[in-house]
Amino acid sequence: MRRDPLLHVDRLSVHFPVETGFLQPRAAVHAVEDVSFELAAGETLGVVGESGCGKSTLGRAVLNLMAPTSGRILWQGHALARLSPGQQRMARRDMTMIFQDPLASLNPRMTVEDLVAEPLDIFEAGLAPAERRRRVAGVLERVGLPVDAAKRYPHQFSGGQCQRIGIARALVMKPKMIVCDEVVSALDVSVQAQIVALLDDLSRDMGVALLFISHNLAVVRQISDRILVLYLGKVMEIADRDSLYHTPRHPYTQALLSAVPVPDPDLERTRRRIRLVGELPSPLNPPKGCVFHTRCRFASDRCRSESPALGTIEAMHSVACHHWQQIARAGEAAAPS
Amino acid sequence: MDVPVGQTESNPPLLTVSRLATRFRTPAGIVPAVDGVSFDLRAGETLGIVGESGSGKSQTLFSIMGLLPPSAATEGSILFEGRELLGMPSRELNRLRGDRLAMVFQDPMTALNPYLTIERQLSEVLQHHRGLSRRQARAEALAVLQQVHIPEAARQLDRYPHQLSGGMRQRVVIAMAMIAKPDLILADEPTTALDVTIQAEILDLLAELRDGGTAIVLVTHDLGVVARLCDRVMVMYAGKVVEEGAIDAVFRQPRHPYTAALLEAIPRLDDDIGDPRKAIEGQPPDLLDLPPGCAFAPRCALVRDVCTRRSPALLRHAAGGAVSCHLVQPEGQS
Amino acid sequence: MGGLQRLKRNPAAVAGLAVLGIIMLLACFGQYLTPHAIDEVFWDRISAPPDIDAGFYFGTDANGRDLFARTLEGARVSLLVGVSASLISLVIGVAYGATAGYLGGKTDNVMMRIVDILYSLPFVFFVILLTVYVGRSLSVIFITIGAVIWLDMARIVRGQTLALKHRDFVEAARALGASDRRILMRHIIPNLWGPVIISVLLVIPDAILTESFLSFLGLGVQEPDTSWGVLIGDGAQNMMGAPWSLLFPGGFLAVTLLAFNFAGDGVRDALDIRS
Repeated sequence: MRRDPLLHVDRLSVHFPVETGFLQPRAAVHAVEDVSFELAAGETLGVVGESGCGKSTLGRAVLNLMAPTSGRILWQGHALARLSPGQQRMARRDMTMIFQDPLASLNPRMTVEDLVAEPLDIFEAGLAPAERRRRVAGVLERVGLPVDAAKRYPHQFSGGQCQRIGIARALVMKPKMIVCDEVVSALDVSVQAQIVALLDDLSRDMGVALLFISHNLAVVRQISDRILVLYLGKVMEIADRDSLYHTPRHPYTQALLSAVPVPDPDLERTRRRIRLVGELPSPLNPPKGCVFHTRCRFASDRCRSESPALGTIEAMHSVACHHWQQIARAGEAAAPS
Repeated sequence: MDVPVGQTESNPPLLTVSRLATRFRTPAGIVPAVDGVSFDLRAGETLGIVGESGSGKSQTLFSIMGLLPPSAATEGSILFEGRELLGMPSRELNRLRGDRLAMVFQDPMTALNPYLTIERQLSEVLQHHRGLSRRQARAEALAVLQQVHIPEAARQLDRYPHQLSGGMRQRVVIAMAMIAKPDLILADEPTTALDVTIQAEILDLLAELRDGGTAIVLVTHDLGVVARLCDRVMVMYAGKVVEEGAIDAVFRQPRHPYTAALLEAIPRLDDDIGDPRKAIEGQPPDLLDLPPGCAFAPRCALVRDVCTRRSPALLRHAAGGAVSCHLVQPEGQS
Repeated sequence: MGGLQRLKRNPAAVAGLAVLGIIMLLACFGQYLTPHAIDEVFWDRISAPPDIDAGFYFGTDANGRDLFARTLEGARVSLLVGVSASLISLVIGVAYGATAGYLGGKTDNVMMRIVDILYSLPFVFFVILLTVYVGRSLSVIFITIGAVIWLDMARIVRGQTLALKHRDFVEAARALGASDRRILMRHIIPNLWGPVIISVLLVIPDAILTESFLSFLGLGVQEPDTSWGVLIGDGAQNMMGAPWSLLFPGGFLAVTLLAFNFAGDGVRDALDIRS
């Protein structure tokens, strides 16, 4: 095991109670269910999954923006939940978030300078105005924004530039970890590459760990060191990048990778597709046993009754599947490579 | 290999768009959303139109369908099965729409009427266009739902859109487009709002339609989707066509710098892991403030002086496609 | 921003604002336009029609007092009541509504139920009670009106706060570690100004009308002070013989209310980014 991970998530579950009828039993959405993983300093962990997989909830729970239903989150060795509200807010110096909608996450009535300086105003309130301006200018330059941007308003910038503002704001306190929640999904494809490259660059330069949440497997592949695959709130597979994309072991990961279209007509014509059966079950009523079994072609009786534990199969590669070995032998992996 | 364009014989084009231009009047000025788009489409062919924001790809589709707001002015010619759609009186256009040509929109939730059952929405199309009785229409609706692989189709007929998942709703939308057996389906980002695995299934469904002889125009920002489904591709930038051709030709040997740059810049699963992508600098232009000359010049790595002075024309090249760039000679050499 | 331009393009709003400007000037400085005091009685001119040469521009009322001077005094009082009541409601309403909306849950529930209860109490009844106890005075009027109008403001502000609370930039501020107080002060309230300004502009005519109504009933300002409501009340009694005594104050009231409404609508449209 890695020593002293920056973030250690231990069997985290987040359930949301749901309004039901008067006489009906209480129900809850199991947004995140029994998730465990670690994040080392400076590392980028990609979190992928489709709708309802719980990745956004996970991101917010890690930042303590959402109360966990059970499990622990250890930040730099300390359980977040045990800290006082004041201490928890102080912890935000070191961990912050960038959001999906670049313009909406910026207060339309604040100048770029005020927006980027907000963490400074919160945590270093006594800062002299000249020093505040200098720190903001420094980080704006670092993210590639022009020097006169500080006095302008968010609506005067493009989506990509707004996202840069968001990144600048996240970096101004030199945090140890940033949660990136679908940060490029709302951007044009030609701009996505710019922003991903910028984040990658900054993370390496400044030693910032990233929790990179995205539904886009190709984007995640560009920036992540390791990847975690979620389905209906549960971890299906965690692996380092090369292993995940070359030899995915979980049938869901395989299906996901096989479904992503690739801009190469030849490859598209010849690759074998893995098709999932059925529909995504309701998160109000997740399947018993392995949550994935209702859509898995390899589902057995054991899968229907017994939830597989996340087991380490190789160094840096864990899978939650009873039959991963048979599946691997059957050679049905169709990841393009 | 590449089929030379212009080979009519016994297969005249189903849809011929010539110099289509659509301008929007806005308080801030005139926006040339679509500026001189021309293409042919034959029966059974699938054309992908790709571009980013401001490229004009969706507006091209709306112009063909006649779904523009009053602030839009359209010029050019849209010939569908020999009939001119531009300027066609709405009564005639309504007879065609839904019947001979149908549209699939991006967001299934807003394309479906939340107050009507699935069956009513499907039957409505047939009752209106074919004059079928309710019972006959219902039988057809059931058949088409099964065609789009909706499980337990009979049960779903009497449900409401909000009771179905996103993927199912999009299938219903496609079913509505298909039910009158149109010759042409125009699809505007039909899978963008869907999960990756559902997207794959919807694309499979569209492929079935294609194999069954329906012509499809698919608008998307995703080059992978185009590679999976389409025969030909048209790349748009700032309202103009920058490149057009058969799918293999364009992807293997892109002639326009934007196409090439895009293929290099987008994250993809099939390149070498760890190979950094080459991002395109800058962002798509503001249509109200287009630079003189080629719209892509400010971002182009190969820009020359002539590019900032004159807008390049769309010229056909030997391999059958077309490209709009000063650096590419008509013979197809750059 | 384009707000100012949009506003300038709306003729009704511009006209409304211009009229309001004129009336404010008249209210402040109009007394210099007439040599007569508001309570000076001209025994030889009881209910006399307008006489421009003599300086009685609007004629006189049933007590022989110059209607022009009294109308201007009425403008002063009505505007004062309208604006003060609105400001009171603004301060209380914004603080109350923003807090309820932001805190949400049970607190919000309790706070809004209190508003509901207060809303359902008979307003005129309380004004009468208060007037009986405290006596007739201007302060009673605008405190009671303010005390009722803040309820509407609180509801509007709470609604806006609820909508703002879930906006991404508020969530972003929370993620950055901002305290609730900071979020309310720096993110929620500054973004409320649009709807609040509009509400204020549309609430002032309401307050003026309410005051006029109270004065008409005889519950408002004391003699010799006057307001448009009093003048209209008196004028209505003398409508047959001296129509000018009703027309002038009534006309001023109507024009002022219209001006506030046009201006308010115009500002709302101008602030609406989507239009």
